[in-house]
Amino acid sequence: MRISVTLAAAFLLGLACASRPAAAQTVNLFESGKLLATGGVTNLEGAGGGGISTWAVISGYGTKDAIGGNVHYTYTSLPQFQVHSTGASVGLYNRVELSYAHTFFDTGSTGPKLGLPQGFTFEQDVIGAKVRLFGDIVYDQDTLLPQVSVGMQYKTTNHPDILKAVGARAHDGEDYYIAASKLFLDQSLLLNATLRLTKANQLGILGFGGPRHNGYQPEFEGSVAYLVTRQLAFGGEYRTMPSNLGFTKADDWKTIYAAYFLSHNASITLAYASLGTIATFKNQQGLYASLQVGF
Amino acid sequence: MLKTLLRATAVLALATAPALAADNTDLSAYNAFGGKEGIARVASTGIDQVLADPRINDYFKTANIPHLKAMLADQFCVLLNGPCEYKGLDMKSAHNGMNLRDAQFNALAEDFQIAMTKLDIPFYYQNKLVAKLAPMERQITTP
Repeated sequence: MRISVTLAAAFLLGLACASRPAAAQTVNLFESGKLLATGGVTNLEGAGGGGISTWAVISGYGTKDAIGGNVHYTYTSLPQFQVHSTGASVGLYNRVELSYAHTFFDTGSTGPKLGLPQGFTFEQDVIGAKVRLFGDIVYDQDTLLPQVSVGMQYKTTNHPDILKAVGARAHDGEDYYIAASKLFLDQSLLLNATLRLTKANQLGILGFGGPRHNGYQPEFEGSVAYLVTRQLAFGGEYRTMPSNLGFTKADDWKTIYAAYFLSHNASITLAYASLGTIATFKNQQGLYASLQVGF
Repeated sequence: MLKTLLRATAVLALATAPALAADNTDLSAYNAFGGKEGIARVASTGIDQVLADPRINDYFKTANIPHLKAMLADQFCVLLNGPCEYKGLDMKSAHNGMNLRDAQFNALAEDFQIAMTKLDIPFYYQNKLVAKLAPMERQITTP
């Protein structure tokens, strides 16, 4: 219910933006008018950002006069788990971002150690909406004002019975966040900070809430990117995680990454992700690779 | 959690400091561009790139190209704290009635990035110039 209201509001806002008078006759609604890399990449939850962090950018290359869109596939290889994520996002008039992601969390041969069948896979859907409130990441170089967006994500994970059995209070839930992104172009540096209200255990793949904590908690996502060339950025991310479940703790997530923008239509992100303890298995670190295609 | 926030705030503050302290006597970018001659090359190569760009070259069909290149060279030189004077129109008047949108503004910026890369200007210093040009979007494009 709440999600549909939010999505409807976001969509209406997008339409309201669309009805603004076009400045020239030559408007191509699907032109990739933003500067290369300024749409960011798609993160694990399907939102415009880095790898694990969410940014205030509206994904895709649509300017305020146009629409952008992306599809992505991301693979993360951890010692005990394999994570596949795929999805699509639309950016409307550099104002509204709507996204969908589907994640496969494959426990592989680890499944039996957790009392699950061999190759047991949790699947999660994430529907997200993000609205840019103010600021422009590129043009606001003469002010300290960042680009600021708010967003929400509805997440639902399958196998509610198993999630309940491990202590999660729900198999679905909503996250709410506010994100600020500031590009210091004269330093070739992009900084992002996001405050997220969430109950999600490991993004919600292990359900929502638990015996240790069942309310919303503020969590922080921070990231930095250094622009090496027009096509290449290096960076790092940090994301705090709630530890709600009783049978396992959750640690903060970290990555170091490189994103390469082949063109306005394709980018590749490679990262080394360190996700700490997941479902009792410590030191879940590994390679993260993401391919994104869009406009 | 709180510790992380504090740490992040400190990082932010440190990163912001140089931006705030940006003074107009710093000639590092001016020198990286190769002084007046280098800047003139950027203006010229950039405009050549624009004239070859089907996204925006129509806007320059009636332009006095040598004059445009000279004006841009002066403007860039001033923006990089060089010993120059810009005597051209202000950005709003210069683009009056052109109905430019962000896509065209960005296309031009991209052409100049390509030109600066061709001229081997380090990306870090390219961004010093682009950072000065970016806020002009408000005067140049039609809201």
